Amino acid sequence: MISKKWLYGAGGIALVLSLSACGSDSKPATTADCPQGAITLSVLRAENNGPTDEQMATYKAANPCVSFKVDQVPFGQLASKISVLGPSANPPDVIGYDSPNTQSYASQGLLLPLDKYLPAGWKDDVAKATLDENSWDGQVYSPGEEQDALALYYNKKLTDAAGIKPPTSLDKAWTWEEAQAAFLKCQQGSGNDIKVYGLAPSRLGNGTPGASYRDLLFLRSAGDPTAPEDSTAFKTFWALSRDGKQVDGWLNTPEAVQAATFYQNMFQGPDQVTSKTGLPSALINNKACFDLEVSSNTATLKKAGVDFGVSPMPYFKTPIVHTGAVTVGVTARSKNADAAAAFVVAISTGDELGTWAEKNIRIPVLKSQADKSVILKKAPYNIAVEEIQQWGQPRPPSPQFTQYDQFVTDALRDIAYGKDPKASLDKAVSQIQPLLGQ
Amino acid sequence: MTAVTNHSRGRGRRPMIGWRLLSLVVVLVIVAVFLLPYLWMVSSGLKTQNDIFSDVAPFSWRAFVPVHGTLDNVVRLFTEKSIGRALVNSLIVAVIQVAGSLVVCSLAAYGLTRIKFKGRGVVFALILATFMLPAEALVVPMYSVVADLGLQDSLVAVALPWVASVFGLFLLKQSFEEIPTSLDEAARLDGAGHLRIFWSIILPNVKTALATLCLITFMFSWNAFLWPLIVVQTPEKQVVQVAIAQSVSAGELPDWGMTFAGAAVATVPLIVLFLFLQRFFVRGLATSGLR
Amino acid sequence: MASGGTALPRKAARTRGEGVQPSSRGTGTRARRLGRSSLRHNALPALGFLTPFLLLLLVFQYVPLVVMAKNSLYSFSLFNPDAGKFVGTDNFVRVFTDATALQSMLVTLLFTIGLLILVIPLSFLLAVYLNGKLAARALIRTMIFLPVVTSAVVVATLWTFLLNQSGLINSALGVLGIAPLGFLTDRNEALPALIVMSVWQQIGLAAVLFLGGLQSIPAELQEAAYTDGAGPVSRLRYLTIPLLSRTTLFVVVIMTVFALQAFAPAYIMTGGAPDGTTNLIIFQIYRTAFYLQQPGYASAMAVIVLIFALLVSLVQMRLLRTRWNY
Repeated sequence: MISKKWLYGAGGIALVLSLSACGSDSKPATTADCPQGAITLSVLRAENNGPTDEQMATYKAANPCVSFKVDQVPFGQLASKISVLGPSANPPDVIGYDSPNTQSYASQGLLLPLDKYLPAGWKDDVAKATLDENSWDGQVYSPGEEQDALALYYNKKLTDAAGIKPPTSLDKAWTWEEAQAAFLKCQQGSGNDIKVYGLAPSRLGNGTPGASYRDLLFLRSAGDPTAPEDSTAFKTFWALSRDGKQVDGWLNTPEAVQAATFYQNMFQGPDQVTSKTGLPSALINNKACFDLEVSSNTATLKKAGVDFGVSPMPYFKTPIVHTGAVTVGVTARSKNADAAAAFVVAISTGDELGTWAEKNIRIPVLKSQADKSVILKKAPYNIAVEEIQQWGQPRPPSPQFTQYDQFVTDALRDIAYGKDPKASLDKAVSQIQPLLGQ
Repeated sequence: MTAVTNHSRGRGRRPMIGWRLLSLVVVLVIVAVFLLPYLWMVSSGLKTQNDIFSDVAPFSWRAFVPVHGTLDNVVRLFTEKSIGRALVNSLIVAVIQVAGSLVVCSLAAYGLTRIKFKGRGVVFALILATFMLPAEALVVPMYSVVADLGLQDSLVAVALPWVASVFGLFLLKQSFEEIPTSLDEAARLDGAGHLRIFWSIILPNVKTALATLCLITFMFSWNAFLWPLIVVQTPEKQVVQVAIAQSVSAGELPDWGMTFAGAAVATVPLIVLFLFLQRFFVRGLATSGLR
Repeated sequence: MASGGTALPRKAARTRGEGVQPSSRGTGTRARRLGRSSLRHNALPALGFLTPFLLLLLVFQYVPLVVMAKNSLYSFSLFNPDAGKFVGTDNFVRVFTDATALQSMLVTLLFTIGLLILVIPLSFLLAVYLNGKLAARALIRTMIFLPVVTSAVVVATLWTFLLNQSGLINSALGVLGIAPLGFLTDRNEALPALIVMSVWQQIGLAAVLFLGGLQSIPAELQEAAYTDGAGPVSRLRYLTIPLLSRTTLFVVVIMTVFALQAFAPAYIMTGGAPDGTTNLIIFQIYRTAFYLQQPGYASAMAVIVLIFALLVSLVQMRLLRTRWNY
C-alpha cells in the first residue's frame, strides 16, 4: 500500500505531541536473573478458552523470565479482533483461536510455522484430524490442544417418563429418523404450544440455528466417503473439494438437499421437535428432552444437579462429528517469536498437556496423553473420545474457511426458518465459489 | 384542534367528552407501549431465568413485577463481568468527550459567528458536509488512522473523533447568534481582544446552550457502540454498551436475566440524568432543528 | 433560545450554508467600515478559534474519507494490507452485480422509507397532542423520550427478547387469542419488526422536534385563521402543515441519516437473516470487512452509501432555501 503518512502532516504530529502521554510502550527490562531480558508475551484469547491463566502460571513458574499480558474477548468477537490486530504494528504474540481458521490465517501470513519447535515424534502422536486442520502447505501452524465433539445429551427424568432408552455406545447409535421419533415421543405439547421440546434449540452463537459446527453435520452424514470419488455421495460427505477450490456440486448435492429438508422439518410442521429461537438452559430447566452439546457441557449439567445421560451423535448414512476446538498459535509478526513458540509448544505437548486435560476434563489431541487419562475412559466422556477417534472430521479445511462458514451458516439458518433447501444451498454456493482459491 | 380549546368561543368551555376519552386512550396506549417494556426489562433483571419464562408466558402482570426478586444477576454482573469497571470507562470517555466538545465547539462557534472573514462560507460548507456522513461507514479507515497515531486501544481514542461535533457546533452557533453584536463592538472599543470577548461576553450569555451541549454530548458518548467495539481491544477498557452486548460466549446462550440486568444497568444512569434534566435535553434537541 | 416569531423574518433572509450575515441591529456606518476592511485581517484570529475543530475534523473525518476512497480501489486483506493489489473500479462494478450487496441496499432503502412513512405522521400527531392542554402531557413526553436516550444496543437487546417466540409480545398476542408470530425468524415479518422497533425508538425525538416547530407558529396566525372561519382541519392543512415544512424536512433528514446508519439491529438481533431481509448496509459493510476479509470491497460499498447520504443532504439544503415568510 502507498504510504499514507503524508496525509497526516502537521495535524497528526500536533495531536500526537499533545496526547503522547496516553500512549504506552513497554521495553524489556534486563535484570541479573534474566540476562536476555524479561519478556512479556501478549496473549489474545476468547473468554473461557485457552491459553488459560493456569497454564500461563505453570509456565511462568518454570520460566520466571517470561510474563504474560492477556487480552480477552468474547468468542463471537475473536475473529474480528484478530483481523484488526493482526496487521497492526503490535500484534499479540500468542493467540488462542478457533482451529478451523488455521488455513485461512496461515495462508495470509498471520501465523508462524511451528515445525522446528515441535518435539520429535509429535506428528505420529497427534490425532489425524488435528494435524489436517492445523497444517497448511505442508507446514504445521498450531500443535492443537484439545478436541471436542458434539454428542446427544438427554434429560433422564424426561426420557424415563416417556419410556425411551437412548443408546450409550457408538455401535448402537441412532439414525436421525430413529432420533426424531424419540424426540417426538418425549415432546410435550405441539404446534404453537410446545411445553417441552424434543430437542433443545442450539446453544451455539446467539441461539439461532444454522451454526455449521452442528448443523452442517446433517448434510455431511448423508454422504459416504467410501463411495466412488466422482459420486455425489462422496462429495456430500466432504462438502468441499479436498483442494478447497470447488464447492458447487459438493455442498448442494441431492443427498444434501434431502438431508436439509429433514433438518427443516425439525423446526416446523407436524414433525417439529425444536424451536427456531433460543431457549437458555433448556435441558436443565426440563424444557427439552435432548440436546446436542459438547463434552464441556457435562460440568454445567453436573453443577445444576441434572440427571443426564449421553448418547452418540445420530446420523443418516455415515456417522460423523466435527472436531476442531480453540487452539493456540504464534503470530508471524510477533517480536518474541521464539519465546512465544516455546510457550505454545510447552502447553500443548507432553505431560503438561495431559495434566491440563485431566484437570479440566478436556480431550487432549495427543493419543499418548488421551490413553493415560483415567476420567476420559469412563462414561459419559468416553463417548466423545470414541466419536473423535472413530468419526472425527475437521470442518472443511480451506484458506477461505471463514467465508465458507459464514455463508453455510446463513444458508442453514434460512433453511431452518423455512426457505427452500435447494435454493438456499445454491445461493450459498454462488456466494462461496467466487471466493475460493484466491 | 388545540387552538379550539385555548380560544373556546362558543365551542364549549371544556374539552368534549370525546376528546377526554381519546386522551385517556392515548395515555394508556403510550404507557403500554413505552413504559411496559422498560418495566419488563428491569424486573426481569431481578429474576431467575425460570421466573422470567414462567412469568411471561402465559401473559400475566407478574412479568412486570419481580415477585420473587433476586439481586443475583446484578451481583454477578458486578463481580463476574466487571460491569463496574465498564461503567467507569464509559464515564471517563464521556467526560473527555464532553470537556473536549465544550472547548472545541465553543471556540469554533465563536470563530464562525463573531468573526467575519473571507472564506467563512467555504469553511461552513466544509463542516456541514461532514454532518451528513454516516459515521458508521467510516469506522474501518478511522481505525487505521487511529492506529497510525498510536492511539488504538485507549479511552482517548474512543472519545476523540467525536469531540469536533458538528451538532454541538450548530447548537452553539444558534445561541451565539442570539447575542447582539453591539456588545462585541462596545467591548472592542474598550480595547478587548477576541479571546476576552469570547470569555466575558459570549460565554456567560449562553449557559443554557452549554449545559444542553454537555448533556447531549454525554448521551451520545454513553450510548456509542460500534466505534468502541472496534477501537478498544482490552476488555478492561471496554465501555458499558459493548460490555453488555458481549455477554455471550461460545456455546452459551445469553442468560436472559443477566442480559436484562446488564441492559438495565447500562441505561439507568442516562435515564436518571434525563429525568432530572429533561428540560435541557428536550429543548436542546427541539431547537437545534429550527434554523 | 427559540426567540419566536419576531426573530424568524429576519433570519429568513439568510440562507443556510452561506455563513452568517451581521445582524441588522448595531451595525452603524463606522462599524461596517471597520468590518469590511478587517475582513481579511480577521482570517488569522478566526483560524485560531477554528483550528482545533477543523484539525479534528480533518484528521477524523476527511482523512478517513480519503483513505476509504483509496481503499475502495484496492483488493486486500486486513491481515496483510501491504499485499493488496490495485483493481480500479472492479469493486464498484461488483457492488452493482452482487446480489447480496444489492439486496442490502434495497433492504436499507425499504427500512428508511418504512421508518419515514410511520414516524412522520405518528410523531406529528403526537406533537399536536402534546401542544394542547390535555392531560398528562409532561408524563407522555417523558415516556416517549425514554427510547431516544436509550442506546441502540439496549433497544436491540430488549426487542430481541420482546420478539422472541416466547417473548412478551407473543404472549400478549396470546391473550388476544392470536397465534404467536415468527417476527425475526419469518422473512416477511423481520424487517417490518425492525421498522416498528425503530419507530418506537425515534418517535419521541421526532415528536419533540415537531413540537418545537408547532410552538414557534405565532398564536396570532392561529387566531387570524380562526377568525377567518377556518375549521380545525383546514387550519391544519393550510396553515400548520405548510408552516412546518422546514421542521418536517429536518425530521426527514434526521430519520434518514439514522436509518442509513442503523447497525445494532442487524448485528445484535438478526445477523442479516432471514435470507438477508434484514441485512442493513452498514452491517453488510462491517461483515464484508471483518468476517469476509474484503475491506476494499467494503470500502466501495461505504463510498456509495456516503455519496447517497451527501445527495440527501444536498437535496435538503436546496429545499431549505424556500421559506415561508410571514
